[in-house]
Amino acid sequence: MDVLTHLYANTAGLLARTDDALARWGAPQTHEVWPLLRRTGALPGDAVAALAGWSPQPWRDRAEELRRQADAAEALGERAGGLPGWEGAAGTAFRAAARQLDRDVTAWAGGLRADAAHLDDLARCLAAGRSRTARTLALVAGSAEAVTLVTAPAAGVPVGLPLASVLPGMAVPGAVLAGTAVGGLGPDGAGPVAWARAAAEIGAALLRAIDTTLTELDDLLAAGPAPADRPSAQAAPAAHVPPTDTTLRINL
Amino acid sequence: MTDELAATVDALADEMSRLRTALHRAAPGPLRLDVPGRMASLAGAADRAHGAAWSAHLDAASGFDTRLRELAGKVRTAGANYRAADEASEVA
Repeated sequence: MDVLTHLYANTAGLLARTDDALARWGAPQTHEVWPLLRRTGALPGDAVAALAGWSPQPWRDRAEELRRQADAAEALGERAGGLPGWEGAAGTAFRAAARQLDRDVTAWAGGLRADAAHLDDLARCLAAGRSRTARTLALVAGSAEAVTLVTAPAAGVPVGLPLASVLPGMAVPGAVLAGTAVGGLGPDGAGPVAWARAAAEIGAALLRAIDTTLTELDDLLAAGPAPADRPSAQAAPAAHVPPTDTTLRINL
Repeated sequence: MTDELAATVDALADEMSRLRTALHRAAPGPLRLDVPGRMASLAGAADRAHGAAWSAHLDAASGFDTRLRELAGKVRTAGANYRAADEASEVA
């Protein structure tokens, strides 16, 4: 169980509230969360849950299997290329066929290794994306916006005044907040606008991290494996991000 | 000598056949991810790309297996022809 899985298990409630608030209250019209929602096609909580359930391990396992078979293929090709011929035209033709087999099997083994390297790149990219999302999730979980959001009433609980009367144009889930209206205030001054803004901030931070990961994965998939005769040209994201002044350490 | 060589090439073909079987057993199935939106299309694209690449590798292994068996067959034919030629020269 990695950091993202741990954090997701501990922040599922906050993420559910974020999704619920976005669906109920929308977000300020010009907020960054809107294009991110469109690009990812998912609410922040759903997207984090999906990423938490998406393990890079199957890609690593396949890469390992391809490398194992590439080793076997190379050894086999070498033995074919080393087969002795015999005197005469038929023997010469046999030697030529055996050497060609060696070359072809070796080239195929190169293809197996290229595919393995590509799978490794994808796995590293996904693992880096999971780490990036985990760091963002840790940051938003301790943010003021999270506090604002967890004090909001849960889904289905009435918020005092009917929405349509306090937020014109925002009577349906997912509508856009006017951004200036303030209604349904709680005793601590929080209300739909504050909750929506908090959810939008949290959602944008999470979706930004996820969008970056999806874009990197998209690019890797579009590029495909590097040609077999040269090493991987992909500058894969590092699997481990070295600590910096802004690195957040979480003891789990 | 050609009989031994043919047996060696057959053994290489058997090895290639085992390699193909191992690849076939490890062939990737769908990831069965319950993911939304763009993540779903991306996971699907990755699945399709890897599935196609794996199929191509299986085809390649089958092709090498066939080539090795044909080569073994040609070596046997050459051996039989040499023996026939030897017998013919002895009779003559």
